[in-house]
Formats: sequence, C-alpha cells, structure tokens
Amino acid sequence: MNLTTSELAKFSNFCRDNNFHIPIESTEIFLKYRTSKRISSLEENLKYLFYLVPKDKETQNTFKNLIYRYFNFSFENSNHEAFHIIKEYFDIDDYLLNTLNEINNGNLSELDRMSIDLISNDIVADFTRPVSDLYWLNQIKKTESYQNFLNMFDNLQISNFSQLTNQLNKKSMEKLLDTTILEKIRDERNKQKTAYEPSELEPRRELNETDFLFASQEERKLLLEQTYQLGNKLAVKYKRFTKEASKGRLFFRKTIRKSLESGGVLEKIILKPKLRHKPKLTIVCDISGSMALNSLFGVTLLYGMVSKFSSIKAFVFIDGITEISKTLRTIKKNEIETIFSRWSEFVKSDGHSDYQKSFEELLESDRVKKGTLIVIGDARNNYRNISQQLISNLADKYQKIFWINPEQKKYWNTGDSQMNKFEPINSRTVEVRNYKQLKQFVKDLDFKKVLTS
Amino acid sequence: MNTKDLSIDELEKIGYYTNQDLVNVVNAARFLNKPLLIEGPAGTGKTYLAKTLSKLLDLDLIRLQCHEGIDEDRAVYEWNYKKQLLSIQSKDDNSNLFSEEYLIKRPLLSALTCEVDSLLLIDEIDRADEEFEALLLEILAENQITIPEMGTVKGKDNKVIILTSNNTRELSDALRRRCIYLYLDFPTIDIEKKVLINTIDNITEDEAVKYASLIAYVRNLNLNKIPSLIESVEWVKFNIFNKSNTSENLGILLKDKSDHKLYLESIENLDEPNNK
Repeated sequence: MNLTTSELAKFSNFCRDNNFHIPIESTEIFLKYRTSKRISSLEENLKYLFYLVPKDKETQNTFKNLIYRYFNFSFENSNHEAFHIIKEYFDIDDYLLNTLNEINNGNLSELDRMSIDLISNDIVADFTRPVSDLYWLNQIKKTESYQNFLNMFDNLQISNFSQLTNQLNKKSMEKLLDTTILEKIRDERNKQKTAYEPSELEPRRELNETDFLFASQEERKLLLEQTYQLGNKLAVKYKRFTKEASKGRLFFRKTIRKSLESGGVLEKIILKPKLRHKPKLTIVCDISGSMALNSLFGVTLLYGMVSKFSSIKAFVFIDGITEISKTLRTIKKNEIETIFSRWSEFVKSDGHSDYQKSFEELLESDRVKKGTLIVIGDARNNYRNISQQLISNLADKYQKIFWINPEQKKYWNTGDSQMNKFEPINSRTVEVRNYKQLKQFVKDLDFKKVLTS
Repeated sequence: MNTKDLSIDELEKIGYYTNQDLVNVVNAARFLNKPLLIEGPAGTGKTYLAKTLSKLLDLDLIRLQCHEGIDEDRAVYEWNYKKQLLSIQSKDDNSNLFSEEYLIKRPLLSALTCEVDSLLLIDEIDRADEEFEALLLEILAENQITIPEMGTVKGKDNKVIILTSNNTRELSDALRRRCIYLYLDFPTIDIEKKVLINTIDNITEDEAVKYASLIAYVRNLNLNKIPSLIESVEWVKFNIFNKSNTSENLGILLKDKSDHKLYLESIENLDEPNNK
C-alpha cells in the first residue's frame, strides 16, 4: 500500500487537530525525496516522514506517537527499549522467548492481551472511585499474576554477565507492560465514562503534557532529567546576557578596522559596550506541603541553574527562607531528593507556608539591588495576611518578578490562594503544570528585554 | 560530487558501527543537499561520525569549533587590515582595498569557496551565542555569504555540512528548520559488541558480549556522568590487556567518586542470587 498525497493531507490535518504542525516546507522536501527515490511501501514512506519532519528529540516522540495513532504503525525499537536475546533464553522458556521476539518485531498483541487479562480478572476494579489511574496500576502491580510474569526473568540459571542483560530486559519489560496497562485502564475508564475527573479520561497524553503530579515513576525520572537540563539552559541564557558586554575595554580589532577609513590614523577609539548595571538573578521555591511533588521539579530546576553558575542565588521557603545554593552545589544530581529528607531544617515555626514572613526574610537576606526574581509557588498562605507594604517593598527591590504557579489557573484566588495580591507586580505570571509549559516559559523569558527596559 | 547512497557495510568496513536509521538519514541529507544537525549526549560519537564520513566519501574536512563569543571575524571572514594599511601607504594608485586580495578566509568562507569536495563540520554549535546562529542561516539555507563591501559569494554544491550540538542551549527554530535532524543515542549491546571485537586485539567474542552487556547495564544506573563510548572501549581494552577483573581500573570508565560506589554496589548485589 502506498501513502497517497490525499492521505498525507488527511494525516497532516489530523496532526493539526492534535496541536502538531507539519511545516509545508518539510512536506515538500518529503515529496521531492519520495518521487526521486521511488519509495513505495507505506512503511518506508512513514519512516522517511519521520526522519524529515521533526526537528528535535521531543517532537520526534510526539510525531512517533501521532503516526502510531493514525496509521497504527509503530517503528522498530532500534534503541534501548528493544530486548536483547541472550542464548540462555533458548534453553529454557519458549513462552518468554516468543514474547520477547514478537515485541522486538513490533508485535504488541501479547502485551495487550495480558494487560486486559490483568485488568479484568486479577483485580476487582471499581473505576468510578475518585482515584487516579496510577492507583489502579499499583493495585495491579501487587497481584500475583503480574509478579509471576516478571519473575520469569529471575527464575533462570544464568551466568553473571548475561544476568546483567537479563536485568535490563526485565526493567524494560516492566516499563513496557506498565505503559500498556495504563493505556488499557484509560480505555476502560473512558468506556465507562463514570470516572471522576474528565481531564484524566482523555487519551494518553504526551510525556511533555503529562501533569507533573500524575506522571508515573518512570516518566517522572525522565521529566526530572529534562527539567534539570532546562535549568541549565535558563542559567546559560541569563549568563550569556550578562557576559555579553564586558566593562568598556578597548575593542582592538574594530578600532583598527575603523581607522582604515581615515587612512590608518587612529581617529576613533571603539570600546566594548558597557552594561548599565549588573543584573542579578534570585530564584525562590515554595516547598511546603501544598506544593506536593511540584516542589521536587522546582528544586530540580534550581539545581540545574545553580550548578551552572555561582552568581545565581537559590532559596527555598516554607514559613521562613533558607538559602540553599551552597548546599545544592555540594550534592550530586541523583541526590536532589535528599533535600526533602532535611525538611525540618527549613521549617522555622509551624510548617505551614507563610509568604509574608518568607518574603520579608528574603528582602532582608538578599542584598541585591534591582535584580530579577523568579518565584515558584502557589501563593496559598494558609489564611494569613499579606500586607500591602510587603508587596510594594518587593516591587521596589526587584526590577522584574516572574511567577511560576503549579496550580491550575481556575483554582487561583480560591480558598487561601492570594495570587491576586502578587499578580499586579509580576512581569509575567504563568501556570506551569507540565514540562511543555515550563519549556515555553523558559523560551519566552527574554532577559535582554527585561533587564534593559 | 559522489551522491551514491551509503550502506551500513561501507561504514562498518571503515570502523563505524551503527543502525539502518542513521544511514537512511545521512543518505537523505546528502541527497537533498541539506545540512545535518546531530544532537545527543556527550560521547556518543557525533564528531566521529563527521570524521568517518569525510574519510569514506573522500572529502576535505573543514572544522569550525564553536565557543562562547565566536563572531563573524573568526568564523566567516576578516579584512587583512595590516595589508590594507601597507597598501595605502606604499601605493599611489587606488586599487580596491576591499577585494579578495585583502580577505582572510575563515572556516566558513573557505569551505564555501573550496574547489575540492569538502565536509564542513560546525562543532558544538550550542556553545556559540544566539546571534552567531543568525550568521549561519544564510550559509545553511542559500549556500552563500554576503560580504557588505564586496557582494555575495556564492558557493558550489560540493559540500556536506554537519552541525553537532550537546544541547546545553535551545537552538533556534530557524536553524532547526533548515537542517535534517538526527538524534544519536548511546550504542545498543549489539553495536557495542561489534565495536569491542573490532577495536581490541585478543578479545574473544564471549568477553565482548560480557563487557557489552555490563556497559549497557552501567549506563542504565542512576549515574552522575554516563560513560561515553570511548571511555568504555578504553576501559575494556585495558582490562583485557592486564587480565584484570571488572571492579578494577574504574577510573577509566567512571569519573566520579560516588559513581564508583554505586557501580560496585550494584555489581555486588547482582552476584548474590547466583552464589546461593
């Protein structure tokens, strides 16, 4: 079967409906390549479409997913996810070997069958209960049949080194099985249409659009890694701007070149441009209970920024502020979570978030003039007052304030949330619930405009 | 210029082991005459791919290493002002000071005007400033450079352009749009095995499989710095040469103290079920 042009147009429409735009340029290039290379089979066509359209790793994944949903075609797992068949498998277990081989060849029917089996037979699931899909996944993970299946990997007599490969296989099998089960649970809940929150019932989302709170453990690990890199990028972006112009020294090459116009006489001395003031960046993160897992992402972002440059200051607060830039610089990337085990160090009085006191302390301890402030927090102040004096002090001290709120926009200013007090002084207030929004925030943040305006 | 498609075998003959996807993308980029943007973690052989291609296709390698603060003068062209000064003082006739005679060609311009087939490698583009990307756009899209004093220099269609990025900074969409994208990941066990067998003397196939699976396992641990392909190959080479076991000479493989600890612990845990 060939991929006709009309089919391609339909697919491109389908992508647009799912917020993914295939540039006309790319389509043109693809068609040109196809005709001159005479690519005929559907599989080859899709492959080259995949090579030519997406322009970064994340869009690659999105696009792969879209192709799967529209054409029901999945690419060979050429990377880590594929199983490596070791020779011990041949001796022992036919079933295991067959399953692995089939998955390697892109046939996931056995996994589907098993997941449906697990959902319908092994747990008594009442999908109307107001819990997230992950709850049901964890229920399934506890069942005997699930564990028996994974234990197949352990019951083999294998030499040490093959054991390592075996462990890898087991890990990726678990990952694959979990995703399939989650998908089936979502399908099932969709069918019943009685589950509690409609937003959870939509078809499986992209990793980038997965809510930080609803990501599974595996997804969270990936997201944290991406967040760390984003922190690095944000720091680089900030640093590039401040470094751009050094302190009015002689710009030798340009001076000489300029002198040529006047026949080699050094008529005009050109200096490197000077900054009006050195901008400072302070970033604070609320790590109180109401922030839940979001604070883990916040602190990872801090870590990513702080580990890159020493002039960036990072603070965390609950009911009092603590500077953690030094602490963060001494720990390793895989130890970030240990920050939260020292929660008691950050609690100054009762352990409920207190924006009034925290910001007062921030104003005292941060000796920067005319800096930039980035706040990660939900502005839930536990019904304590936030004084007008504080707001104006903040606005005076910091030239620009950016606010990242991990709460859904519709819940802002409800209950004890006092977002409306801060909003007028913020240059930008954004809702960040997933990686995509975070990335957009970093992308839009233009220090140049902010700091010199 | 030779536009015949490459095949996996050709690459393997010259010592580059890879999968079909990569070969397809490279072929597409060459056929369409578009620059190839390679992204991926450090140590996966991005620069090495460019070197291999230049060797295989018999192209001159012109390399531009990007760094912070790189600008037009160092990357594209510069006027030889010393020569211009001398010429003003010595000559009476007004020959054009802004002609090719007084031009110092930097990598980008020399690649563009190169008579022989060449491969232009713009290495670690993410280290350069964002403004520098804008400079590149004209070359990448139109294959030409405009010098204000002289006019436009048009290049020939006899080159392959490769950009590499370590992803420390987000590249602009404008740059991405003009390229063909390739993500290079760490090698799979099979590829690692092939590399080991072919680069190390006296290694048996059995040992190669063992080490390949060990390294794949190590890369999957929660390490601070994931060992690159070169590091792993050097480590195995040294271990085979000295007949040492897998918990020695870790300094070659892992460059972090806590990583050593993590590695040794996980290897230990793994041995337990087999000893029972």
